[in-house]
Amino acid sequence: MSAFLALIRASFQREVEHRAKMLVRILGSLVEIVARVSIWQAVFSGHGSMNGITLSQMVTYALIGGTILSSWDATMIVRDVGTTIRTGAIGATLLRPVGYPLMLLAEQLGARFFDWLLISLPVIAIMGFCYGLQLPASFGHGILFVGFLFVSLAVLMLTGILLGLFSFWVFDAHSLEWFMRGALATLSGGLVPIWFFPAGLATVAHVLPFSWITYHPMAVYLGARDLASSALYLVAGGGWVMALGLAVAFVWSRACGQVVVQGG
Amino acid sequence: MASIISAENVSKIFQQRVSQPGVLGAVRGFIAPIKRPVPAVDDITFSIAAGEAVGYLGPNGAGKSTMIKMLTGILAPSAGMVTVLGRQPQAERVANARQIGVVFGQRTQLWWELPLFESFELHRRMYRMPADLFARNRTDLTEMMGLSSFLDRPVRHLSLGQRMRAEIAMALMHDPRILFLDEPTIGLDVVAKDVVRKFLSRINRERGTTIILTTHDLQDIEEICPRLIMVDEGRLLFDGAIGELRSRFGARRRLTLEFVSEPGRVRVAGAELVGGEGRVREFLLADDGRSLVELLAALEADVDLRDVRLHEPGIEEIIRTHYQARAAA
Repeated sequence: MSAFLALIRASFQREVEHRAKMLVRILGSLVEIVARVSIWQAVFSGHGSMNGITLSQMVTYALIGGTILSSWDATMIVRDVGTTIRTGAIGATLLRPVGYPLMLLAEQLGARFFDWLLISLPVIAIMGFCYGLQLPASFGHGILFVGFLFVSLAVLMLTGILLGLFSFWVFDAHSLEWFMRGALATLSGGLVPIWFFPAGLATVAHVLPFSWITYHPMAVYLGARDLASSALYLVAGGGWVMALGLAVAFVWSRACGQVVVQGG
Repeated sequence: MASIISAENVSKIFQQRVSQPGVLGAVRGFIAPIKRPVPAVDDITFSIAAGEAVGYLGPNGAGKSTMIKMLTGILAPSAGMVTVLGRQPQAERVANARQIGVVFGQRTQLWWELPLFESFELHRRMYRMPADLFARNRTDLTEMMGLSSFLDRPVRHLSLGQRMRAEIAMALMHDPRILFLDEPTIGLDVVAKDVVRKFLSRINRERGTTIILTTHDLQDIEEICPRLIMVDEGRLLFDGAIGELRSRFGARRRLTLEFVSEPGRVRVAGAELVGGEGRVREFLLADDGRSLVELLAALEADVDLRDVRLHEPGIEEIIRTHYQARAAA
C-alpha cells in the first residue's frame, strides 16, 4: 500500500514539473467549456426546458462533466502502455516488485488528482463565476455524488488499463486509443447527456459501464433521480468496477506470457 | 556451493513476421502473415553458485539480453527451465524481483523527472525496506559511488556517467543476492568505466553479491569476472575460467625473432614458421608452456639475434579470431 501511495505521489510530482503544460491545459479547458456552454445556449434558445432539463442544469452538466468527470484524458493510459511496449521500456518496468496494472493505476491516479486540483477546480471556479454553477440538488445527492466520483474514476481507469493491456497483442496502441476515445465520448454522456439520446441507444448506453463516468454522476448531482434510485445506481456502478477489476486481472495474467521487449 | 541460478536446456524462440516484397506481397502478408521462428537462445545450460562473478559475453544478437530477461522474469523461456533462487522467475516475477538487482545499460530505472533521492525513496517503498537498512545502504552507496553532489538533481539532468552510477547504487539498495548487469559500461568514458568496474568487483568481494554481467567490453570481464560464459547465435560456446579460454580456442603464442642480418634458414623445435622477411622471422608456438629461455635454447640459426618478442594473445584477440573465423565460414 505504501508503494502504491508513493507511486501516486511520484506521478503527481512528475506533473508538477511541467508547469508550462499546466497553463496551456487550463487555457484549453476554458475554451472547451465556453464552446460546450455556447452550444447548449444555442440549443435551448427560446425553450425554458427540454426533456425536463433546464439550461442552467445543462451548463452545470457541461462544467462538471467536462472537467472532473471528463473522459478525454483517460485514453492517455492506452497511449502510455503502447509507448512503453513499443520502446521496450516495459522491460525496466517489469523489474519492479509491484504488479504492472497496479503501477499503471497509481501512475494514472497521480496524474488525475493533479488534474482535478490544478486544472479542473480553477476552471470550474472561473467558468462558474461567468455562467453560474448549480449546487447539488440536496445534501443527500451531494453525498452520493462523492461516491459516484470514485466509481467514475475507477471505471475510467480500469477501462483504460484494460484496453491498454491489449497493446501486448495489438502493438499499435493508436487504434485502441481512438476506439476508446470514440466509445467514451459518446457512451459516457460526456458530450451529450443520455437524456437526449434516441430511445434504443439510450437503453444500451444506460447499462454499459461508460455511463458511470459522466452521465450517472451528473444525473444524481442535478437531482434527476430520487435518493433511493441514485443509491441503487451507485451499487450497480460498484458492480461494474468489480467486474472491470477482474477483467484487468484476467487479461494481465494472459498478457504476461505475451511480453516481447523490443529494441534489444 | 549450491547453485542459485540455473538454466537447463533453455531456448527462447521469437516469431518474426517475414515481409514479402511488393504491394501484393504486403497485402498477402497482411491477410496471412508468414512467421519465421528466430531462436534467440538455443538450448543453453549452465549453473552459477552464490558469490560468483560471471561474464556473459557475445556479439550483438547473440542472445545475451534475452537470457538476462528470462533470468529476471521479464520473458518466459520457450523451452527448458530457468531457476533463480529456487524460483521460476517469470511465474513468480514479483517475489523474484525483491531479491535481485538489475541494471540495464540502455534503459533507465530511475524516475526521469524527479530528483535522484526521490527515486531512492520510491525504491525503498517498492521493496518494502526497513528504515534503518535503507538509511545505512543509502549512506554507504552514496559515498561509494560519489552521488552526494547530485542527489537533489532531476535524473534527466544527470550525465550518463552520473546516471549509471546512480542506477547501480539503486539496484543494490535493497541488498539483492544477485546483481544482473546488461552492458553496464556502455557509452561510459574511461574514467567512469574504471569506477564502475572497481566498484562491482568490490561489491562482489565484500558483500558476496553474485554478479552476472553481459558486455561487449572484455576489459569489464577481465577485471570483474573470473568466470566467462560465451555465447554466439544463441548457443553456448564456452563456459569456464578465463585462463582456460586460450587453450580451448587454441590461441597460440607468437614468437618474433629479429636477427642482426639476413638469417637464411631458421628453425625452432616445436614451433611453426608463419612469416617474416628480411631479418625478421615469426613463429607460432605449440601450447606446451615452454619458457622463452627454453625456446631460445631450441633455436637453430647461423646468425646472432638482435631482438626477441613473445606475444601472448589477449582474450579480445582470441575471441575476435573466433568470431572472424565463424563469419568467414
